Amino acid sequence: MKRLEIDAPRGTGRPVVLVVAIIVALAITTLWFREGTNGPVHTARRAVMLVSEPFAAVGTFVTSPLRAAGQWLGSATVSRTDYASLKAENVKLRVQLAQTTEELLQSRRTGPLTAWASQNPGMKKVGATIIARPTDSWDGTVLIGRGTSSGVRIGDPVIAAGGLLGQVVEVTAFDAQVRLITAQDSGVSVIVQRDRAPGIVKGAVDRSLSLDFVDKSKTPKVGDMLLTSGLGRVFPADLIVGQVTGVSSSRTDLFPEVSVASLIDLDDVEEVLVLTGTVPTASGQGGGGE
Amino acid sequence: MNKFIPAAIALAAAAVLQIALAPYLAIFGVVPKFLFVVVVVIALTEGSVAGCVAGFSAGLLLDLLGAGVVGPYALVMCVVGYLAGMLQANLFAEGWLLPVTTVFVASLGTEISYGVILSVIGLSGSFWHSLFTVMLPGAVYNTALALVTYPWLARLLRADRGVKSLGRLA
Repeated sequence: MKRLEIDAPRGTGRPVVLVVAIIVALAITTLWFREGTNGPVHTARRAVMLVSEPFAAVGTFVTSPLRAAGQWLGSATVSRTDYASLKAENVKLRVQLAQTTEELLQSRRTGPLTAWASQNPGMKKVGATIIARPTDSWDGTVLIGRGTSSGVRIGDPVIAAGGLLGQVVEVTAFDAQVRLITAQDSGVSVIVQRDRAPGIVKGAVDRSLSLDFVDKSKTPKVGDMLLTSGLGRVFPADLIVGQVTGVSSSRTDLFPEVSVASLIDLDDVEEVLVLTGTVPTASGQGGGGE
Repeated sequence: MNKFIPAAIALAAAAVLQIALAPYLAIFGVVPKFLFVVVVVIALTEGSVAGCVAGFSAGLLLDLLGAGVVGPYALVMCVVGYLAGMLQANLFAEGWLLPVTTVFVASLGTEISYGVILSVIGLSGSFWHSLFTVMLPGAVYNTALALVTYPWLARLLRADRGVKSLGRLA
């Protein structure tokens, strides 16, 4: 008799549990959309962030030798020292070239912009390290080890060597969640450095970047650098977003299809800077980077 | 109630692995889902109700770990856990093919359903693009993970049946 009880199918034929679970899930989704940032679901997410942070930090620490070994194997076909130095130098030179070009173009523009720039003090920066990476294929966020106790706020831009990395979307006292520019729900207002053509750089589920809504008459060229436009004060102007890697356009397309690559190696980046004080507050403060 | 303890331990361990290890096992941005594999194995060993509850819990955790809308994973995974649990009565044969096939089909179903929900609420891009870059690779990755972990998970979750041989677990 006991054997029969053990082997009998357990827990089947109770769709009421399924119905309740579906209703609760739909209620949570609805609540997430309707509540404010201090609502119960958002608060629960911040709590999960706090609880998961130590585990993520341990994971980062424990896997660092394995990741280093993977990078070592990945570059085994060339001299590792040469490869690392050339790669670093290449990124540095591309950034320097973009910055120099931008400064040159800026100097050619008329006085008001220069005067405006000189009237704005330097942006405040907070250094941080990435302590957790996306836990799901659909997720395009990383966790950094700085929070409100360091002056980080929701909306603050985050940069890394090579340009714009993303934007803070959730913050606790000691850490913050950063939505990468490659996330599928990310969009950055940019301009093409060469001709100032505006557009929107969007992410995708496979973490690729594309440039949308660019006027066909100003179709970018491969190699063009894309900078933040500063429109809407979401990001400070003139941060490097990426470089055009491919352009295709047919007569029936309303906008050209432009593929973009970030200069940041998102899988390897570890240190970032949070630009605090660039997001306008209700009292009108901030926006120093505009 | 004791039979729920191994399931809870397996879910907790999967949660830790999902946070600490899974991000570093990503291949071309595709992250394995330890939590999902555990949910399917719980469903296959404990039945629909346990699968549904485990799926809801694991899905909610996955939702909360990300930055997007909270709820879709809980919704999808409770349904998948329930459906996978309906196969429990048929898992008497020795072998690994049925559980692993179940993981693949369930994983693909979960990813597609999640993508559809994101599309409906306007948070996803091209469905076909997602199918070939995230959904199918994710299902394959989870299946490979199940091949490695299923025997050990099944031994943990079916300890009350006194099964000694890994070959008999499936």
